[in-house]
Amino acid sequence: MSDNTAIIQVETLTRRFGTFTAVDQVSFQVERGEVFGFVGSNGSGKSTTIRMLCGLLAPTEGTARVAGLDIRAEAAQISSHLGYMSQKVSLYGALTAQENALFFGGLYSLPVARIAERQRMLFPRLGLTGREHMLVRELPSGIKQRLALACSLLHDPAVIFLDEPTAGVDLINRQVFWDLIRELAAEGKTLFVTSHYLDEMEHAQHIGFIDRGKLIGFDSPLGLKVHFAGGYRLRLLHDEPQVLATAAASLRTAGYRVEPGDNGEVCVLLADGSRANLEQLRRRLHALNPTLDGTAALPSIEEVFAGMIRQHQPTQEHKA
Amino acid sequence: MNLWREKTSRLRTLLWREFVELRRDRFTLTIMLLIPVFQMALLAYAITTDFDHLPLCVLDGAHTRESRQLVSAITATGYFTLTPLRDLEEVNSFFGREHCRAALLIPMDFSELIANHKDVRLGLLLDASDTTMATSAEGFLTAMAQAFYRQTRLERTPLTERNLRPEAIGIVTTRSRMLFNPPLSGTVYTIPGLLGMICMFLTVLITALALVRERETGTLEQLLVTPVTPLEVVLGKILPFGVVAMCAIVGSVVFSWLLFGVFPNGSIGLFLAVTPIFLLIGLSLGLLISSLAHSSVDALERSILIMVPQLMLSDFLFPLSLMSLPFRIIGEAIPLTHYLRITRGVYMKSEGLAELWPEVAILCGFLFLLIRGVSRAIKKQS
Repeated sequence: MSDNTAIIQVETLTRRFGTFTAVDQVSFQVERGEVFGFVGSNGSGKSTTIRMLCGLLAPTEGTARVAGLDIRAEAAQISSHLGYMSQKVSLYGALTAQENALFFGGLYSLPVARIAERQRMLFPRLGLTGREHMLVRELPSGIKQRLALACSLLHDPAVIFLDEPTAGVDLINRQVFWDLIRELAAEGKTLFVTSHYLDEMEHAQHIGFIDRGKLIGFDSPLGLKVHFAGGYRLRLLHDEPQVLATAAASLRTAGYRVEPGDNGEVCVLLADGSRANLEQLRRRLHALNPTLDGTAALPSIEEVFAGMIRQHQPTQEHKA
Repeated sequence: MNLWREKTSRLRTLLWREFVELRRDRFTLTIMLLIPVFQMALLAYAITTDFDHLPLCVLDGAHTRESRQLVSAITATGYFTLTPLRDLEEVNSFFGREHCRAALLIPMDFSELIANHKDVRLGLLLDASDTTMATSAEGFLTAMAQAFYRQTRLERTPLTERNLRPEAIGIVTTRSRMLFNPPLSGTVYTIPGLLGMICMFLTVLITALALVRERETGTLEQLLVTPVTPLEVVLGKILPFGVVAMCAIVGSVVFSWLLFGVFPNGSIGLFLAVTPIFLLIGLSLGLLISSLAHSSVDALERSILIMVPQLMLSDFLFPLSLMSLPFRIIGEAIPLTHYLRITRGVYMKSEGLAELWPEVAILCGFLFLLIRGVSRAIKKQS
């Protein structure tokens, strides 16, 4: 097996609860050393998928391999190859930071000396030095979240599942946390991350969108923007709102989709956001009013996701 | 071999954490240790079937030395508050009121009958609306009258071989015979039952909340993604609390011995060996409730729902032998029923493993099934 083989292989994974299908025929692959972003709204089947991959829940149909092990047949062995951290920051509040490390390390049957060694390696990197003997319930939430990450890394797992790791964490700590995630990926770890903050997903190598149990998109962030959201668009800005309004009106009659953007700007969407089409639009704008200028921009992940959800909405208007 | 070492290392880690948490949480620990003793003190006084200062009216028709001796002997026990009556009219109008719950009628020919070695019939009226009081008072007064009769007769009769034969003594007879509890003390009967009830309440409530809390904080899920098995999670929860609960129970046994002088007649070794089994049953039952509950409040409601029928049908409050067959069958399916047979057997009948082994075996069976059930429930919910 070479280093390039997929470390997570999901094949037509399905989970039903009674008549409700939470995860429906989901297939994708994640390569070793990647940060994989898994995006979906609440109840989309995101957590159910993670729980199946972690061996917490048995699939109804299909299967998956994590670190080369089948999640159905080899569920017992998988646990020592994966780390898991959920948004709840599941630590024991009455124990100190070090005791939590000893506890979780002990559950992987690591000798105390090995736990101490890993702790010496991880605690300084995660900014936990000096907090070893503080009770966890007295730690601020940003620190707790990093301690939880440290505890899930003690046994040096190949794959790390982070289920909304930055929920309820402030901006600074989120940035620190994502720096760590990228460092870990650079060391060859595979990180499977979900988040509600879609801007964070720009850090991922690949993103999977899940909606009502189905995988509706899987690509790199750039690929998603180009292939799923029409690629480049033009953002127009002008000191006089009147100029913008007339420009928008004439572009609409020319057949462009024009939407109001943030801060009073106007956003012109292209059916095919290629460079050539973008230049054509620029020329047209210049002809309209030479003082008008637009900046070419790619949609944000959030816009891509919102657009895709809208597209997959099973409404009558779409069919008509 | 290696697998076994990993298993014990995981279990040791789980136990270590639980003890560290217990040591830090002084409040819970104190509550757990003190509640059994408080319950014992409170309930032993409250549920006891003994009576104290029972209002007793006496219609002494004889007015002789012997009848007055009987009355003063009864007064001397301190269990009754006596009101002398003049005639039967007064008995009719007084009886059943607060100051007359029982009435003793002494016949006019009391002394002559004793002197002539004839049968003596004493009249006894009892307020049977309180059956417990009525039965206890009846037994007590009959026993007193019998003793009094025997003594006065012995005093007046030359000690011949004929007079010492049993049939020559028993003129005032009781039909009921009190075994295993000769002083008719209520506490002796109540305390073994209370021990069972305290074990049940203590253990079910401790663990009913424990697992729900771990699920709410997410630590249960975190445990289950590690190599820890559900069985190890269960053992890691019930063993530490089992140790604490056992300390509390030994404490209340010593306490009931010091305060009430009640101590097992039978095998104390058996009692000490079986109690941990029963405590683990209660703790597992609590875990089972916890694994099915949606929230802490839900877990509490479910535990109360489970415990009340147990008290009703386990022979603790009402005798199981008097119930109809379906209820007796339900009663047999309750672990507390079997534990109570053991505690009462050990405390009152001087029994040991030779007599009680079937009950011990049944308790072991319950424990095995419950631990398996909880392990499955934990695996399923994950």
